[in-house]
Amino acid sequence: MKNIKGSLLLLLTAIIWGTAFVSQKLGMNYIEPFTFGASRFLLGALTLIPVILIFDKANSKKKGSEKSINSSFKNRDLIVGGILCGCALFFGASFQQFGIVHTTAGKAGFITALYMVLVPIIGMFMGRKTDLFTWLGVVIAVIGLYLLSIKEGFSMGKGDAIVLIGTVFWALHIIIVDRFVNKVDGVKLSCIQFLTAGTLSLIASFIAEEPKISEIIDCAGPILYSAVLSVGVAYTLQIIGQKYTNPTLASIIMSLESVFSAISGALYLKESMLAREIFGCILVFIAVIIAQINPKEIINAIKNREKAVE
Amino acid sequence: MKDFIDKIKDILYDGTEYILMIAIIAAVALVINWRLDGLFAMNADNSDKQVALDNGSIVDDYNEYVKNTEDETPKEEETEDNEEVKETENVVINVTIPSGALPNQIANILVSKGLVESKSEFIDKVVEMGVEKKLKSGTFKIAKGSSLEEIVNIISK
Repeated sequence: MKNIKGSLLLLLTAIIWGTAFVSQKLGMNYIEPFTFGASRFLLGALTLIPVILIFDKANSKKKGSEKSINSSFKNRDLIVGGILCGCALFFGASFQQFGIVHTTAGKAGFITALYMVLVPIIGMFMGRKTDLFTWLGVVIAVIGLYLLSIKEGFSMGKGDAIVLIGTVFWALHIIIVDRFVNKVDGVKLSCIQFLTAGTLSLIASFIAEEPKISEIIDCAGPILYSAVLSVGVAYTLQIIGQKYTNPTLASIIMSLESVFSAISGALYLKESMLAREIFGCILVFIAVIIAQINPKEIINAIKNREKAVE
Repeated sequence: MKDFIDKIKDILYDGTEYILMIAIIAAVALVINWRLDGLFAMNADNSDKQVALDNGSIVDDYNEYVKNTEDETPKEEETEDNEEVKETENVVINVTIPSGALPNQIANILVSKGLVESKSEFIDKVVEMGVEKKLKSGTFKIAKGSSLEEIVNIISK
C-alpha cells in the first residue's frame, strides 16, 4: 500500500514538472529568459524554507537529542555541493529557457528527458562501467531525436538544438547531485542550488536584459507555477515519494514528465505533432526507460522472488 | 538536556536568517505593491512618447486619444447600424512597436492606445493563434474598433 502511495506522489511530481514546460513557454510572452529564471529560482528557494523547517522538526523528533552532521547550513559539503549544483542548474535551465522560445513545450520536454540517457555516458568518462543496455538506449535515443528534431536537409531546429545543449548540463547536474546527496540533507542542498542558480540568473539578466518589476508582476502566473509548484511542492513530493518506491521504478515514473509536457502542451497551447515527431517521442521515451533498467537489479529481484516461492 | 538546548540554539540561529530573509522579501513586496501604479504609469508614458514621435506633439496625441476614448465609444453604439463602417474607418491609430518587444509589452502599448481592452485578452489570443514569435516591430496603422484577431493579424503579417 505504501508503495502505491509513493508511486502516486511521484506521478504527481511528474505531472507538475511536465506542465511546468507550458508555464515556462507562456512566461516568455512577458519577460526574457534570464529574468524568468531569476524570479523562478529565487522564489523557489524561498518556498523550500518552510519545507526545511518542517523536515528539521520531524528529524529532530525522530532522532531525539542526537546531533546529526547535517543539522545546519554550516557544512562545507553542503555549500560547495549546492553552489556546484546551482551552476549546472543555471546553465541547464537557461539553455532550456532560451530554446523553449523557439520550439514547443512538448518537444522541449522529450529532448530534456534525454539527460537520463546522457548520465551513464558522462559517467563512463569518469570511470564508471557501462552495460549493453546503456548503448541500446543511446542508439534508440539518437534515432528518436532524429525523427523528433531533424528537418529536411539534415538541419536541426534552432530551439531544439539549444534545449539539447541544456540537456548536457542537466546530465552534469544529476551527476553532481549524486555525488553530494548522500553527504548532506537533500532539501537544503536543493535550496542552496536554487539560490545559486537564481543569483547567477539575476546577474545575467541585469547584464543581458532589462528586467522591469512591472513586467515580472504581469508574469506572476507562470512564475508562481514554475517556482512554487515545480520547485517547492514537486521537489518535496519527490523526496517523500522516493522513500516509499524503489529507485528504478521511481526514475521511470518521473520520466513520464516528458509525456505530460507533450499532453499539457497539446491541451493548453494547442501544440500539434507530426506522425514522425510522435514516433520520435515514443522512441526517446523507450530509450529513457531502457537507460533506467539495471539488469543486475532485475536478476536479483527475480532470484529473491524464486527464493521466496521456495 | 544540554543537547536539546543546543538544538534549540541551532534552530534559533538558523531561524534568524530565515526571518531576515522573509522580512526583506516582505519589505520588497510592500514597496512593489505601493509603487505598482507608478510603474505601470511610467510604462504607459513611454509607449505613448514613442508613438508621439511619429505623429507630432505629445499633447496633441494624448488629447486625441482622450477624445477618442471619451467620444467614440458611445457614438459607435448609437449609430452602430448606419455608420459603423465610417466610424471605424475614420479613426486610424498609429502604433509603434519597438524591436524585440515581447507580447506583454505590445499588449501594454495596445491598451494604452485604447485598441485592446485588457492585456491578458491580447496575450491569450496571440497564444491561441500560435504567433508568439511572429509578432513584428515597426509602425502599424490599426483602425479603432478592430477585432482582436484583426489586430494580431496586422502585427504578425
